[in-house]
Amino acid sequence: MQIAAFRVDDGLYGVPVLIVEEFFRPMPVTPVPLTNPKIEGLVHHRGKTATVLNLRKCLGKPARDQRQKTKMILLETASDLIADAVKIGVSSSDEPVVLRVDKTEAILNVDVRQISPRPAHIPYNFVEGIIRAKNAEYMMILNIQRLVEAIMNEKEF
Amino acid sequence: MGEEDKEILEEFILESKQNIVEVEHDLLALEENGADSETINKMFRAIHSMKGSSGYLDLKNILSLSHLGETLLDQIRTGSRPADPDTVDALLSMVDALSEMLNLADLGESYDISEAVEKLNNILNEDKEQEEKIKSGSNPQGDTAVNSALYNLPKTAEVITKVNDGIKSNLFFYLINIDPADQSIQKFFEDADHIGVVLASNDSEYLLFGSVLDVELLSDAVGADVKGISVVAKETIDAWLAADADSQSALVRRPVNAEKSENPEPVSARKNPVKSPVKAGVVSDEDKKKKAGNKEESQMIKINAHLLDELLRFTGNMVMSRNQLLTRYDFSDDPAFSTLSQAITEVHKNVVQTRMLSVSTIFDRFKRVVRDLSKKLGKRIDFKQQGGDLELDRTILEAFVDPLNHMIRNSIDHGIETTEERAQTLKNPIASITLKAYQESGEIIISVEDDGRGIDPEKIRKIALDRGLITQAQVKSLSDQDIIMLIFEPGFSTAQKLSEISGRGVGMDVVRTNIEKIGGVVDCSSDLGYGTKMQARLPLTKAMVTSSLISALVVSVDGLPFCIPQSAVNELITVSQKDTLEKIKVLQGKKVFQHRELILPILNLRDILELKTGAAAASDGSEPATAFFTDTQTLIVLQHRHNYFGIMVDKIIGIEEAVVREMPKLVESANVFSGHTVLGDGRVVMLIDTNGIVERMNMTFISQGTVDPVSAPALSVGKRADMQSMIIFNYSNKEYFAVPLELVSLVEKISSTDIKKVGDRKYYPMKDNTIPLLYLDKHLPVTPISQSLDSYNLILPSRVKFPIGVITNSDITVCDVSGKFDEKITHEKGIIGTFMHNGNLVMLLDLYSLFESDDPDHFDRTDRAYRESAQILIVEDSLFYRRLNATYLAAPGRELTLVGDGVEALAALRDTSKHFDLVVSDIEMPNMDGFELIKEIRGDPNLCGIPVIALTALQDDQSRDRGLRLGFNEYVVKVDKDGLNDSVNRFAKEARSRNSSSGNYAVSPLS
Repeated sequence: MQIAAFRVDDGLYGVPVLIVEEFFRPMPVTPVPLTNPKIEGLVHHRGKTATVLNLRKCLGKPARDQRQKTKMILLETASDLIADAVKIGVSSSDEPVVLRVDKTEAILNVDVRQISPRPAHIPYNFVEGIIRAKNAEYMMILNIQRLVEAIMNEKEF
Repeated sequence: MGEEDKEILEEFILESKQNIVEVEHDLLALEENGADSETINKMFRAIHSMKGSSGYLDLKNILSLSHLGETLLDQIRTGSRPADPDTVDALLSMVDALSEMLNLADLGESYDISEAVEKLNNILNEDKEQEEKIKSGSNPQGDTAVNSALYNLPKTAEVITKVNDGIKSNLFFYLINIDPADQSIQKFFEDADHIGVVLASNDSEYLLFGSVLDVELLSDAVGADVKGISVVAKETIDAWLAADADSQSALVRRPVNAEKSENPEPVSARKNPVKSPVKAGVVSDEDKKKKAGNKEESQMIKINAHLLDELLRFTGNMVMSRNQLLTRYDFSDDPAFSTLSQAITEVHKNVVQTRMLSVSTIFDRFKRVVRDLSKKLGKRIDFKQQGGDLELDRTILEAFVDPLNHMIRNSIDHGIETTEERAQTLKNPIASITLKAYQESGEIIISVEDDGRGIDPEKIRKIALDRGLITQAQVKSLSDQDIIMLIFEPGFSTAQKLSEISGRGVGMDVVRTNIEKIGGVVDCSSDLGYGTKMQARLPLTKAMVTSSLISALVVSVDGLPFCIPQSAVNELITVSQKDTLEKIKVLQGKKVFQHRELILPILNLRDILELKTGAAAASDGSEPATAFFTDTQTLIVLQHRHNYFGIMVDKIIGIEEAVVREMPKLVESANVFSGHTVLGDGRVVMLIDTNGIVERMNMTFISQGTVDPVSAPALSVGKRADMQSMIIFNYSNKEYFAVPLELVSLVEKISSTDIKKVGDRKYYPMKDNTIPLLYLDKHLPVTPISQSLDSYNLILPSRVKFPIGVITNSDITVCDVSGKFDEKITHEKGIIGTFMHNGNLVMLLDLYSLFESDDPDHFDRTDRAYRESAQILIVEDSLFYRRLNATYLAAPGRELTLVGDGVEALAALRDTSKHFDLVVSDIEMPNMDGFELIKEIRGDPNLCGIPVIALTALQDDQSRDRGLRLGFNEYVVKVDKDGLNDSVNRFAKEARSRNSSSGNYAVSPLS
């Protein structure tokens, strides 16, 4: 399976390439008041309004330096996933979501059998599993559907 | 089943459902308005096409039922049968059965159609017996021919089994006459498994053929090469099977129970017509109509809803992108772009239109509900609809069906009394239920209103207490209105026993849940003995098609843009530092703004949205240190239902026609937004929802009454009867004039440079239209206003058809003055009277007569020309209004009697030495108010027929509804002179024509 890897703070993360619609340069985000701080706001890109998730907040990382450059990743919605993706169990959010990441990395070919389950003490159930990437670094593979559900279920923020 | 078949099946279901709905609608119309040949033909065509398709698809139950229905409709169509209630009933039960079957997975193949079939057969048979008598003399040749051919067929055991199977599967039986020499024809039938089976054959000249197709379809399927197809009735087949081979006695037996069976004439294929001339005429006629029908149908096509949604989304994107391009480039010289832009607008408009549905389509469905239930319960009900042309999104409209159904059933079952009960009161024995849809202050309102017994709050208190819905303490503390709202609580039902129609104890609860699910709220008001009104309100943005355009005000706070729907915006006020000090006061830490006579709660949008100011956000996130107001801000007066409040924003950016989309679910927790759009610069902006703000900020408005900023003081009239709010202004230096505040819709400072002169007249261009200006010195002997002022004030009257602006200088005050004034020190037309204020003599203007002399074309005509003479009782506590009304209504031939409250009014009415044609009554009065008065009048058998017009400043819905429910004939806003005269004229005329025949108030019961 191909994984699109990216960095958030010092960590390496990835999502299946099959759910990535587009990488793009950051555009102004309209903050939505009174919502979960993990949600940065809304952008309109290619005729779609997408919710921008602040992955640093989602992953409990410190806020980034305002001057630091970032990237945006627009994800496919669940209904737009190709049949092959669904067949191998890839899922996504029901509505357009953009991930704000620090830096995008290469696309990696990984062997699904080598993905280990999430270490027990990592508190994020949206971490699907971990895998060892090239330079002996571990990469966490994220399940976006679960991430979105987790955010929606948070009532207090 | 193949893919193609599946598609055909889906098509069939869709089309049939549509047909069924139309047929039901037409049947009800038929019952109501009598037969009209076009309607009947339409129904016939619909059922006919269902029959045809179901035959093709081998849906036997639908086929049998639609076949019988078609027969019946055909008889109505040809005039051989009247569309009497029994027939309509039978057809309606067919419609019900068909629509249920269409919703089943097996399309009704397992459905028990016997009841509907029996009903239809009963109707058909009773008639057939008569027909038979008439026809018994004749002996159509076809009949004998068919019979003899049938009896010539071999009746082997195999044939008998096949035929019996055929009977079991409800096949149609045909005798087909073919050319024995033509092997291909014979082969055709032998291979024709998909349409039927050959049951028996006779030297290959006649075939007994069983088929699912009806005769027309069969002849289409067979083509041109057969000599003739004759329908053989099931009874004939039965007789044939039963008959002894030698016996010809069966020949005289006549078929009883199928369409063409009593006269099984050969129906030939196209090139070979052997039709009887009469029948041929009918058929060709029918063909013509079929063609016309097809033409109509060809204009409608069905589209997958998903496809349409996509189309809608993309056209929305087109509009947004176009708007973005417009902000970036200058296309003014490029005609191609304007063509493109125009096209985009049109495409968008049309696509949005495809998703819209008029409310009447769902209202119509309830005709049937009301009809059936009222019949069943023996209640006579007049079902009325209003606002059916309002168009909403289909999906939203569909979501209203269930709640409305519950409300209507509830109304009929619990609300409306039986005819006998009604007869014992003075109520019209025919009850009424009104379904209404309308748009008001950014909301869509759909209501169900009845004139039934109303809800008894005491009864509800008791039940709610019994069921533990409220505590003993709440029994007393909750208002009647709060108590009535308990009917929407889960598990609440006032029905003493469960009834079939409603009262399962879930109905009203479901209503609320369903309406809330689509983002609306329910409401109920009731007057014991007079009726109940339930309504559902839904924000306009939710009721509109997604991606449709709404006009929005774009504002900014802390540099962030937000949109506010224009429909919710009442007024914009620029607030400067100086105003802030004067008009904004702090109460309990909350800000209020003195807006004319109204105290508005005001909130800062920044606080509502919990935005941190730029500085605070950047630092440690502590409380923002900024003042509530910056130098200049704008106060936006928003309307929520009938109440007003203000929100402060930093800046108004402009007005945009925005493509509104719903909020992503991820950010739905911010419930102060009803959607979002994209601005020209590509930024996403949220659309603010007024209801959301009210909810979020926990605002409770005390008065549900109208608090229109300008007429608000009128409410105080009730409290201090003789005080009157006046706008007092100074025209030239020493001359003061006054106008009642309620007569004014707007006071605006205008710059003298904006005043345009055309000939002798001066005009002021306003947003929507150009206002002619009135200078008092042109009509009254007063000193002319100085022409050299930089600015003037413009007073714009309310409630006139053709507004004329009154020019004053800038010295304007509003104050309450006592109602005591001297009538006519001066006899000038245009002046009602004078009073003293702060040592100045103030002249009270009669704006209407000033307008009349200023613009006789528009005003005079509506005035004196049409004034019915009448004896009118005016009930009004305020001296000022008494006089004003008297001025408005005075005319030769009219006799006005003025009284001060309800008690005096009743005394006058019950005084037999006097006669009144009609009563004009205020609502808010001491001793006995208008509501009490009308109850007394309608409850008095001697008075109940007299028309009573309510004249009131309380122009909100609830009090209007209440007033009308209690029996006022009409509601007129207090200072609406034209409106008042129109009503008085109308009722005076009516009263006179009635009095001439009887001379008693009690001539007709309240209707």
